[in-house]
Amino acid sequence: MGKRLTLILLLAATLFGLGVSSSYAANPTDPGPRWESLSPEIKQVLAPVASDWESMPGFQRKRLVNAAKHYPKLSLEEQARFREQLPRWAKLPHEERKDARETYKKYHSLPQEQRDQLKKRWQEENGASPQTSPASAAVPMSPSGTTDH
Amino acid sequence: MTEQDFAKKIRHHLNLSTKQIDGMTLQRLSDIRRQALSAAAVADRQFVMAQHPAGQQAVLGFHDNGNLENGMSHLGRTVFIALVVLTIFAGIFTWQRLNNDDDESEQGLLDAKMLSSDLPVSTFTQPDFKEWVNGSR
Repeated sequence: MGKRLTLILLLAATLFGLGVSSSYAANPTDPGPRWESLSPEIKQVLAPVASDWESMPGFQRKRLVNAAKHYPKLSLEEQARFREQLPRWAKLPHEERKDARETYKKYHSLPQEQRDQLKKRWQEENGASPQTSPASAAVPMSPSGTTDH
Repeated sequence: MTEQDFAKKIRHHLNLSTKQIDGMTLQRLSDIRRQALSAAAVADRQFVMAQHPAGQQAVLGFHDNGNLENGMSHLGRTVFIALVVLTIFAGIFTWQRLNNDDDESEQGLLDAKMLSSDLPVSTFTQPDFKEWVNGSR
């Protein structure tokens, strides 16, 4: 009787623990944050992809929101590039985004000199000019998250 | 002579004799002990659990130093174990949650850096560019 009670209690505790842990684990069916639930600041940053929001999977929405949280820390020029690239980035298939992140991580880990050489070579061979979007394309936001008008 | 002195004197004989008890008697003794314990209001008995050398069966016996063990009732011990298990799970859950939050923030930072990079994001999907990057490492 006593041993059975011990077993039942231990089993219950284990199941409870596992249940709580798994409920927090990444859930592929999680729809992610709804557009309406986002803060005005985040909405402003993610405005270029607002029309695609409903069709995005939950994990992509979460990642975009997480990226948008870092937007206020970027310079005006970087903010402009962020917003300009956002729609293209959001439309990339998941595998390509994953692939791009891996390449970017490797690229970013290179010394500055090597990065500059690579950039220059790439731009020369592809006839592309550096991403120098006009700063006016950015929605200026101070590090506190408030818009500077 | 106190009870404890007496117990100390006979414990050796008792412990030896428990090794010679057959399984059925052992079971009966164990049942009687359990009944006696549940009938008693106070948990701190003078008995301790001793493991039978041949198996896992608990038998009556006296601890060598005569100290009281088994001060906690069976139910109390069960609840205590359940609480320990719950505490461990709560710790794991909290640790996972903190790690997950860190990961999400780092992932967000990576995406933000890439999106604001002076190279278009499409560059990082190009096989040629990937090859160059890998070749530079």
